Amino acid sequence: MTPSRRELSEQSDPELAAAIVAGQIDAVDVLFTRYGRVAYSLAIRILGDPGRAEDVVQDAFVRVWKRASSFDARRGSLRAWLLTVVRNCAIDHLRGSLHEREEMQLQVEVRAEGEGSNPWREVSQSLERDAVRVALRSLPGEQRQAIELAYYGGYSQQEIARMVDAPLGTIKGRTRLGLEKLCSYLQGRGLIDGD
Amino acid sequence: MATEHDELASAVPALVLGSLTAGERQQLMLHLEGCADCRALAARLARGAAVLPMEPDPVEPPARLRGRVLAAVAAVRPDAPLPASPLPIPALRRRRRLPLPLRSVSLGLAAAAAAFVLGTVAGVGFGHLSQPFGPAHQGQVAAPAAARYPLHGMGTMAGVTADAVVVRRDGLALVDFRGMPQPPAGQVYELWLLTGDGRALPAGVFVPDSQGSRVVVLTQDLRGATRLAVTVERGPDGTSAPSQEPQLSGRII
Repeated sequence: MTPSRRELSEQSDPELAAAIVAGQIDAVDVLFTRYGRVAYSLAIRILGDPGRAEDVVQDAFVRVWKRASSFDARRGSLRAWLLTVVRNCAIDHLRGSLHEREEMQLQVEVRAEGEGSNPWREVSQSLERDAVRVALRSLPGEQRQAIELAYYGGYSQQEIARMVDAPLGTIKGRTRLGLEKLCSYLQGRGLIDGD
Repeated sequence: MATEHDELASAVPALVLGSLTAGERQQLMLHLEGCADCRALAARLARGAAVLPMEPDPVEPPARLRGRVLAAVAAVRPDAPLPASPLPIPALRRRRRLPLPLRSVSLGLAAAAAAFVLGTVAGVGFGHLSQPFGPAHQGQVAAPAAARYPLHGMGTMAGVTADAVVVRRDGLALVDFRGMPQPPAGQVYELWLLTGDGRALPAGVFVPDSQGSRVVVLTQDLRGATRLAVTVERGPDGTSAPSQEPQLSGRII
């Protein structure tokens, strides 16, 4: 039996993903309720333009709907997938790319996300945001810059090297070190799983 | 001296941050299939990259965005081939005048409009009344958040495919036209919202693209509207009341 809108709103993310794969538009509605704000905030962060951010969020949800059958819950969370799509759509808008980026699903486990009631989801997202900010701030400026230019700007390592006038190998090293430290920090606070 | 493996491994951070080109990504993904060390590195770093979307300041999306998303989602079918570029959804040109009830227009137009409304409400000349099919693909049940309704054509529009997607809670509707013939020179297609009390409210004008396609978003208040219809009217702005029987129509409740 098909779950109602209310039942969907109480389902976990993997169950919601299954409902989207089954073609339930109500599940997209619930997905928007759950992550619409995070998605829009990310699009604004990348584009700095509310109008274009709206276009990006719309495109991203459509892409998730169209490609729902390719989503593999064993390889990552629904939220991570959606936000990767949002990020890629935003970068495509930003860089004027004619080709859609492919969403890559690597094995990723992130804890405090998406489950439970709305008040708890709000709280957990807020805690997560604070932790990510502290983790990023704790990085040396050059490492943080390399990560932010790559993720929020969509710049390649070669482009970043030219922008900051540093050797390519240095940029690659900064990016890896920064990510390693970010992981260690978040892992130490129980936000992400270890190896 | 860096080996090929070292070179590829050094690209893993950029991979998890999504900043490789398509070619670079493809090459590295091939390498990951056969390299457990690089796979483990990618999985570890991806955990850190996965939380980056949570960093931005929270910004509340505008209320209309939910309706836009649902209308756009309902207009496409899952797993359909992707277009070369994102589908543009142009809003209809905003009308310069307010919608007028039939009684306020000239007698000649009123007669045509009355016949038009009666014809569409009764389903005369359109075979059978259209049925909402809610599901975007087989096996899906009717979705209250957004419902899809087919419009049916006649005459020169017999081969036209058009679906209206209505998100009534948000007062939004989107119509996806395919296979539309070009209107005669100097004329445009005009959309009408037909109300239960017999009024035809102009809802905008449009011209299909060279492929006969157009997706239009209605920005009008949908309250009271029971059907959508399309006529050919004089361009570029259309008319305030329909001058002919509809070529294409369907109900939206």
